[in-house]
Amino acid sequence: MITRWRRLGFGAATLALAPASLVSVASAAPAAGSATHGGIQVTGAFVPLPASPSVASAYLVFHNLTGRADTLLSARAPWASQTMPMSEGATSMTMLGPVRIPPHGRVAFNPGHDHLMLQGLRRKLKVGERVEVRLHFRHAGTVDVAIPVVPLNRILDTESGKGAVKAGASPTTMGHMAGM
Amino acid sequence: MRPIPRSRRTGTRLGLALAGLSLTAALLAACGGSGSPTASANGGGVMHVTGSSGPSQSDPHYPGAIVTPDAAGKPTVTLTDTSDQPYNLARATQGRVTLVYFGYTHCPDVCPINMALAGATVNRLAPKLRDRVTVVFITTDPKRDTPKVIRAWLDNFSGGDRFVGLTGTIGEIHQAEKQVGMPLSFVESGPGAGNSGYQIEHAGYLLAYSQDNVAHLQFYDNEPAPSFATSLSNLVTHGFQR
Repeated sequence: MITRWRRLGFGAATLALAPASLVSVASAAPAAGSATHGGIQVTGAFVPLPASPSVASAYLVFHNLTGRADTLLSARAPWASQTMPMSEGATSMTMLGPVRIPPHGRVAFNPGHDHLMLQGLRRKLKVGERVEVRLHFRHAGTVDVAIPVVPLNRILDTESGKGAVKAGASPTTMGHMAGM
Repeated sequence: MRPIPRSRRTGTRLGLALAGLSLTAALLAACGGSGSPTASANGGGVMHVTGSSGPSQSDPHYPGAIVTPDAAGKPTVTLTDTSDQPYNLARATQGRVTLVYFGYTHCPDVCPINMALAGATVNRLAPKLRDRVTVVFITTDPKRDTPKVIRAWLDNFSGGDRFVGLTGTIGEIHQAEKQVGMPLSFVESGPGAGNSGYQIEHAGYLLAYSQDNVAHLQFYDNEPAPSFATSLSNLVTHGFQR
């Protein structure tokens, strides 16, 4: 997808302002658990089937396709009362502040390191379904990702998305919503 | 010498003192302080503390495991299992190879990782060897983790229906943590601390006891299950050897 956009000759500034139609073209055949909008691409997202009825974690990789740093400001999911980026620190889990995505860089949320923590689950998740997470970036605006729920043991995957891409038979992207 | 694991994995005796530092490190890294274009927000600081007897060692018999020079004994405090029965870990697992983990079921990341790891490790053993291993989960969150909640949580892991789940009073749990040389867990302040969404700080590694009831090995989740399975298999078959 990155290559394609570059070939089309969109600069970073154009990307950041890309209208909905462009985005949906670019995301015509996305991998499972991926989404692209406003110069931010999310790939390899997965949610291991939560062992707890109350809390889940989401793992994903953020790519900044632009030459300007962007920042993940917050996240929300309709199926959880609270969504927070968290980090596993030296002895404990701590809340991440805004997460900076460097220009042309990537930030990976991997098991045992960083994750989106989803608390107050409103329903029981099922392996194979896709759950929506809405991410808010300073520049890219709102990016919605449909994240596949995968078997719990996939939490042992050390690279976010390594297994998740294999997980879904019929990948879908929710595209983006208004909110820029 | 095996690579020194990242600091969280060591769940050290200095853990509480380090908590403030780690928070700073995590926040710094999250703000891109490292300048690396591929930034995991984790600082990845190296800090390995095992106590007074010198650094931990790797051992070719125990791939992936840390061999601790000042290994802990088993907790002797009597806790409560998921059938609401008293469970004395030291007595119940006397002479058995035993994996012990302290954590809580509302923990989104490191606890499910470690329980999945324990399950994946034990499942790799031949059934005969598997029957000679006990996996024990001890909650650090007795307020929310009732025996029933613990049971349901453990049952979600592959092989978890065979895991022992334990709870007790905070005092009993702290006593157990002390007895195995782990830092005492505590409820984290911060958003959610006052309501049902609180988090708990706790040590984040598996203790592996051999037949002599001593945790000569520690498993940290940055190593894969197949390595631990080899270690565990050697432990069950030959006992701990140096």
